[in-house]
Amino acid sequence: MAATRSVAAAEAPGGEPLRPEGPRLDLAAALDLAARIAVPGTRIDLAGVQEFTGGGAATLVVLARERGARFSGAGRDLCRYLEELPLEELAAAHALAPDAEEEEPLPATAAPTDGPLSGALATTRWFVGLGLEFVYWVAVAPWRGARLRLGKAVTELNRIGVEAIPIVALIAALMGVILALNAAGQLRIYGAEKYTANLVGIALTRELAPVITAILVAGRSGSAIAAELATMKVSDEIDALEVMGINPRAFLLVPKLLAITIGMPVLVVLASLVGIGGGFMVAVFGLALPFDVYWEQTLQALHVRDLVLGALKALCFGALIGLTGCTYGMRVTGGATGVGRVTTAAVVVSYVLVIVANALFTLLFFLAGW
Amino acid sequence: MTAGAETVIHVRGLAAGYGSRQVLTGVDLAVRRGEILTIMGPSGCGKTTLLKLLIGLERPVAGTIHLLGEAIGALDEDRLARFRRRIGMCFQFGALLNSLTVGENLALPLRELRVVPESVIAMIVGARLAQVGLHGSAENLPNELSGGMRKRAGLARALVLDPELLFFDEPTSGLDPVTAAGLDRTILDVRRRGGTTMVVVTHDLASAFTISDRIVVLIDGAIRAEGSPREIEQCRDPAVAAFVGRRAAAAATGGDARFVAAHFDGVRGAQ
Repeated sequence: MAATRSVAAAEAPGGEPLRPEGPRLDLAAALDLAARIAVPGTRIDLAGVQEFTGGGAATLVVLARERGARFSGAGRDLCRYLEELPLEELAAAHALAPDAEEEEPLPATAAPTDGPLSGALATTRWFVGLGLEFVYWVAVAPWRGARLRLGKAVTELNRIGVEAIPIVALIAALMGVILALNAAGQLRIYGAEKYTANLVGIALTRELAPVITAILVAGRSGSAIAAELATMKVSDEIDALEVMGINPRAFLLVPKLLAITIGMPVLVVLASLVGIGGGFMVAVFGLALPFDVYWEQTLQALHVRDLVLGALKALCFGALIGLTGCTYGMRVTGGATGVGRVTTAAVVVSYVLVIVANALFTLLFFLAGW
Repeated sequence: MTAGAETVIHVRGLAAGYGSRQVLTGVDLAVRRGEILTIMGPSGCGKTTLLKLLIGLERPVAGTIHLLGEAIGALDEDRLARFRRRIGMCFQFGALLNSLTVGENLALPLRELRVVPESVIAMIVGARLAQVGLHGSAENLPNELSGGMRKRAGLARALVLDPELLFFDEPTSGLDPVTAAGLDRTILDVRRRGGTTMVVVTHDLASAFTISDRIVVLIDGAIRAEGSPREIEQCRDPAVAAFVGRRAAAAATGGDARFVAAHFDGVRGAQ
């Protein structure tokens, strides 16, 4: 962490004391010094310290005690300050993770900058760049010691996924009912009412459940992501994170993207099942189809493959919605009006992307014979 | 490395713009260690852009910026992120994360280092909040604080990593004169304790003349005048005089609120 500083005072083996690199003992210097304590009993010579900060002194003392180092040569002010620290409480209160992390460079896809490009092109670049960076943070960075913020992702998953279950279930059930009524009305002409089950099952799992769920999630969460990030951006919170040396994309965006890409397939499978249930209610209670006939027809028509394909679509839609919300939120300009504008844009663009992607998927599956 | 002599911020030939609009042209700056430099100027003169360039939030069209000997334009994202732990920034409205309490906001940069023990974090957070007069607000959410308190909390957060350089964007704007004077005193107190170098962007004349060692007046994206507060006050340049003159006029009519504030110390203590 103090790698930005040049290493001056080298640590020598033969009982030679450690010294801070500069005259100023601040947090960075303290952490750097503590990291160089190799063996218990190491002596730290503080004679060169002319200035110190409270955080630096306290951190050094706590970490040095932890590693069995001793001090010498501290000036009068520093001594007095150290004496006043509640050392016993500090030492007792924590257990320390001993190793400073190894930091890995970011992929070159990062750092989207505003160029003189047209707005749409720049937005697309941001969108694609963020997508690649998301993959990096989820699939590559954790193996290199970077943190994947799973706790935050779980919170987001609750907001995006769990809280959406009632509305998704309601809409899916009604879709099942509507489909079954329409299908039965047509199929009755040919005396093929029992095929209602096939139609409801296939149409829901492969097409309607993914698309309807995506539209609900885009309206609920895509908009929320865009609005939240845009508000943070216009109130300088994003800039503040950057200035603190925290990557706002890893800190804020990746947990949201992770949650929405995990949440969508689960919601879609749920929607499919609930929708089939809705169709079943119509068939059994409205059309007097026997339960076992409907069940058998459904099983006959529906394969695991259909559910998997539906979930695959959902995964893709989730990523599209999340990336759209993040991209528009992060690229907001112009205060409160801007927040409203990008929120609308995020939802509308999400709808278009989802519908277009769905058409492409269906075409692909049709051509592939799946 | 004796205090005062070394140049810690070195800007040469800086130019910036958005599209075809030129915001800054040929800006040169040098700030010595421990100095408080104020960048003043009317709205839209490029002050905030200059600040954003200095902390690397925006990239210049031309020119170089050296902070603490590092050319920040040449740092990649990761090195820049690590370098930024040596600098602090106080945003105009505090820019606290609204989803976290004030205490969590302060703890955030320390927790992100992942090596500072929680007990030390708690101590640093407590000390920094006390330093800006916000003890007891650690559990509050930012939107439960007043504007002035949010600015103070933003300052406390900028201080937790013991920055060598501290940047302020309009630290006193939107505050009543008494609170503004209190914040000025806090800024001077931070410098006195830590020897921190500061760059303050403001158009609050009273504040600028109180805290600055040196003032730079920026007009239409170029430096128009530079010098000690006294030199700026006596500057003959009509544009500078017109800008600074408002302060002279206010003082002449006894309307300088900061003067009043300075003589009613007890009022500030009650806030």
